[in-house]
Amino acid sequence: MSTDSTTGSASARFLFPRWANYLVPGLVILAIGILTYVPLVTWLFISPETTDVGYQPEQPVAFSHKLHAGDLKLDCRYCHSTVESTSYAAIPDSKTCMNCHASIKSDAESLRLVKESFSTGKPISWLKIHDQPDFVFFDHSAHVNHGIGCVTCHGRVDQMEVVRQEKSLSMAWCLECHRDPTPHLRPRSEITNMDWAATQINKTQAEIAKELLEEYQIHNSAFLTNCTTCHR
Amino acid sequence: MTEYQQEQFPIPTPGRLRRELRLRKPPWWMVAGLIVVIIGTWIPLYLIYKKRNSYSTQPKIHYIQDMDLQPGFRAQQPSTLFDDGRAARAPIAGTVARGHLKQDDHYYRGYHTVRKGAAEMIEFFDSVPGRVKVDNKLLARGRERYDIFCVVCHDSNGAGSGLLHQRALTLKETKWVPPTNLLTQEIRDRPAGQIFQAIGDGVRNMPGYKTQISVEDRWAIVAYLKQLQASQPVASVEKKTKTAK
Repeated sequence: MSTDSTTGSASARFLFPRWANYLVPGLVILAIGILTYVPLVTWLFISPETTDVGYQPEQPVAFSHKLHAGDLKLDCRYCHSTVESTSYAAIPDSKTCMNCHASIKSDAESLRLVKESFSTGKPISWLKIHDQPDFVFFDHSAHVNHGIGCVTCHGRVDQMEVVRQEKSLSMAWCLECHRDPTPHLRPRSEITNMDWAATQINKTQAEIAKELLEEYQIHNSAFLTNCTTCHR
Repeated sequence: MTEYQQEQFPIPTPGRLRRELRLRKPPWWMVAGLIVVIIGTWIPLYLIYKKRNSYSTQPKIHYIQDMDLQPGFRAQQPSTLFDDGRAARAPIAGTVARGHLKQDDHYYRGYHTVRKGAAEMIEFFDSVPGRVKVDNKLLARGRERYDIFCVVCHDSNGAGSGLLHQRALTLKETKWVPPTNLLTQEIRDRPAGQIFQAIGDGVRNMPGYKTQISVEDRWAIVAYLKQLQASQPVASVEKKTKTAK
C-alpha cells in the first residue's frame, strides 16, 4: 500500500487540484477585503449617527412640542426656564404644566399622570433624549448666552410631535463648531427662534458672526478646542 | 501543460496567474461562495442604513461605554437613596441659607403688613424698589421676559387675547377665565408692588410664576408693563378680551 516517495510513479504522487491555484490570490483579496470592510462596518455601526440619532422614546406623557412650541408659540424658556442661568435646561415640574392645564383640557386622560404628579409631588419620570456622557462638562447657559440657538443642537423641536435626537452630539460634531462657530452664531434675542436666518435682517451669516464674535467675546478656536474646555 | 505546472511548488506570479485564470474556470463552489460573500457584506450595511434612516423607541446602546455613565448624580436625576426618588435635596423646612433671608419686603414681596388699630393690613409698595435700577437694559430684559411668560395669555400689547386664550376659546373650555386686559384703568392704577406680587403668587385664575421667573426679572416685567401701558390707549372695561376670534 505504501509507496516509496523516491521511487513512486508519477500517477501515485499527491497533486494539488487545479482550484488550489486560486487559494493564494483569493486569500490575499479576502485579507484586504476583511481589513477594510470590518473596520468600516464597525465604525459605521458604533458611531453615534447610527446608535443615537433618531432616538425617539415614548415618554410617560405624550407631550407634543409641535402643539406647544409650534402652534401656541410658547417660548422654549417658558418651561425650560433655567437654560440661561444654569448648565442644564430643566425639565419643567408638573406645576408648570398645571399653569395652563388647571383650566385647559383639565379632564383629559392624557394629563392624568401630570395631575397625579401635581397633587402627590411625585415627579414624572421623563426619559432623557439628548444626553452627553458624564465625562463631558456641557453648559447650556454658556451656549445660549453666547449666540448658539436651541435649533442648532436640538433641531426643529417645534415641528416634532414626539421629540427625537436629530444631531449626533458626538465629539467630532461638537468640535466642528468649536473650531469655527461662525456658521451657527445668532443674536441672543433670537436664541429660541427656530426659524431665524441672518437674511431676515438683511445681513449675511458671516457679517453677523463677525459682529457677534466681538460682542459676545467668544474665545478663539485654540481655547474652544482645548481639552479642559469640555472635559474637566 | 505549461512549464511551471510541472514544477513541484508552482509559484503563482501575476503573469502565470493571468494565464491560468484565462484558461481555467474556477470551480462552481468557489464562484458560488464569492457571490454569497459579496451579497452577505451588504446585509450589515443595509441594517446600518436602515437604522440611520428611521426613528427608534429603543434605548440607545453604546458599544464602547468609556465612562458614559458615572455614579455621580446630575441635575434632575433620580436616586434610590431617598424616599421621594430624587437625587436633588430641598433645603430642610424652616432653615434659611446664608444670605437668603429675604428681609427686604419691598424687593422680595412687593407689599408689607401694617398695623392699623387692631387689624393687620396689607399695603403694596407703589414703586419699583430702589435696588432695581430702571434703565433701558432693565426694560429690554422686562420685554424679553414678558414675551416669554406673559405674552401667551396677555398678548404682546397687553390686551389679553394671546394665543393660549384663543386656543381655550376654540376648545370651548368651560373652566377658562379670560386673561385680564392689562390696559384698563383699573390695572394701570394698581401699585407696582401689587403687580409684582401678582406675577409671583398669581391672582384669580393666573398661576404664580415664582418658580419660573426670578425676583429681578419680575421687577423688570413690572417696569416694562408700566411702559407698555403708557404706550397703549386705555382700554374700556367692556371691550375686555371678548373680541378674540
